[in-house]
Amino acid sequence: MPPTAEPERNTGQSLPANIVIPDSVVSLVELARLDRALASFPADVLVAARIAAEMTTAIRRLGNPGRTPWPPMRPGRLP
Amino acid sequence: MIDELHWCSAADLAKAFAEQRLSPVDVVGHLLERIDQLDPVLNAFVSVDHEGALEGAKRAHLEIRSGAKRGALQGVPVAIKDVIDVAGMRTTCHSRILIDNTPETDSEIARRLREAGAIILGKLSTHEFATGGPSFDLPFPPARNPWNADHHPGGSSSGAGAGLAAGLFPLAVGTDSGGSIRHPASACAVVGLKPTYGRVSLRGVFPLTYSLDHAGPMARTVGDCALLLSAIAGHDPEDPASVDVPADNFSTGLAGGIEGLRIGFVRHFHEVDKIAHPEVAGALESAAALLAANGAQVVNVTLSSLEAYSAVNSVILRSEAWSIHSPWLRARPADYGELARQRLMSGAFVAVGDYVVAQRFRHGLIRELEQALCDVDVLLVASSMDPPCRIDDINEISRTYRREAREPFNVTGHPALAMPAGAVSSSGLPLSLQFVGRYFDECTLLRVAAAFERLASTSVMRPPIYSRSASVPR
Repeated sequence: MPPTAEPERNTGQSLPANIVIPDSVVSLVELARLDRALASFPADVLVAARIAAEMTTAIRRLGNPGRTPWPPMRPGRLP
Repeated sequence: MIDELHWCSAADLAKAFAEQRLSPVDVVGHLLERIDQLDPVLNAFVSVDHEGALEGAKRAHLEIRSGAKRGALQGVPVAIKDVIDVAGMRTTCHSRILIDNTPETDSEIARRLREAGAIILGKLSTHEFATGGPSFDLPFPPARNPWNADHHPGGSSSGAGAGLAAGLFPLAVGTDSGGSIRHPASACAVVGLKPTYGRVSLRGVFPLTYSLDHAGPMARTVGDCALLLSAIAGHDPEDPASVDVPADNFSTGLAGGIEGLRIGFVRHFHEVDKIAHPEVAGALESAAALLAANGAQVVNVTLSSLEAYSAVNSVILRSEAWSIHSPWLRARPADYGELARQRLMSGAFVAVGDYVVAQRFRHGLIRELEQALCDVDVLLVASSMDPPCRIDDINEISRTYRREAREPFNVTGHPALAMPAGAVSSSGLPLSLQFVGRYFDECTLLRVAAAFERLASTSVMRPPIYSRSASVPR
């Protein structure tokens, strides 16, 4: 079914003046080559970084996964 | 005489077609009219193939008349989530990124459906690239819940849940990387089965991840889920995730009942890890009591916490999704909606070491669940912890998306089926539960679900406003 009234593409955001992108996030953005996203959607980049920080905290809170290596090596056999 | 054509099960339709009591032309025509009438509100479809569906129905009619047998779904209409390729129909993934993407070849799922004689009505709404949530900044509006159109139908196979519940089609194929088949099944009071990882080919399905994705059947009855799974399951040597195991006829054994079966009830998921809404908890207790009263042995089972499963699922999902979407996120960030852009970019900020740690934890969680399933035949667990929320309440959607017990079985790959719990909330919205089975033992899983469906009369649940028949050809 064709879209009846296509919403406007969101072409960009601006951050409130009191919010600054941390240097650590800028560094990761550069590594990930997300410069264009940072320029146009800085608020979304910040949200993405916050989601990732929450995920990282959650997985690290689980502690040590144990001594089982992953992926398990099974010579001569598909895992 | 079959009345209320739009509420007919696929099994009944197939039988009526084969016996020439009914023509696929009448059924497809009726459903297309119903789609035209109701879908402007429900938005279940991204695209409807009126012409192709009617042509297919005419062809099926002639084949049946001439005695040519195609398969178990001959003449039966089916709709497909818009991340699954159907030759000649757009696969947009509900996104501007792929707005002009029209595949020339069928996915393995579509190929098997055609081989079984099914008629593909069109492509169904999803969240953008099957992630994020209901969004209003995409080229197509989000699907709405037929039980109350102000409410979210669940996702990301949203159009499948909404369309089944509204009687727009009897069968749908969805995908599930963190609960996306089972969430809409739960929210719309239909049945959704995420099969064992590797049971259904993912060739021609646009990936959200590489190791959590599953495709599977959705329907209004357990029997129809079994029928559809029988059509789409099977080894595909061209899909590296596909497993070479016999594809059973999943419809056999549905009447087997539950007497003597051991059902493990994972109470801590909804009593400790996430405190479920009291009506959800009550429905789960009632279900356990009903199963026990009818011959099953219900025992408590303890697994790792939902937090552990969720942490593992999230890191793997976001990391793998980033690896798929990074070229487009770098070059065309404006062509994503806000929610998908945020979620998909988050994988860029996850360290590779954490991804490996998540996979190592996953290994332990798989072993733990395998061990638990040595002692019981299936598990009974919560699906959603809450009744469906309003579609325009972004905070409530965000809160309830984290309050579920579906991710564990994407992490482990075990088959999991969500269905109505047999009750609705005080606000008139569906309550649900979930059964989980052993690897490649969908037959036992479906047998238990079918028994519960009979005991709790869940297959007759209809949204009140759509429960009356429209003008039905007799």
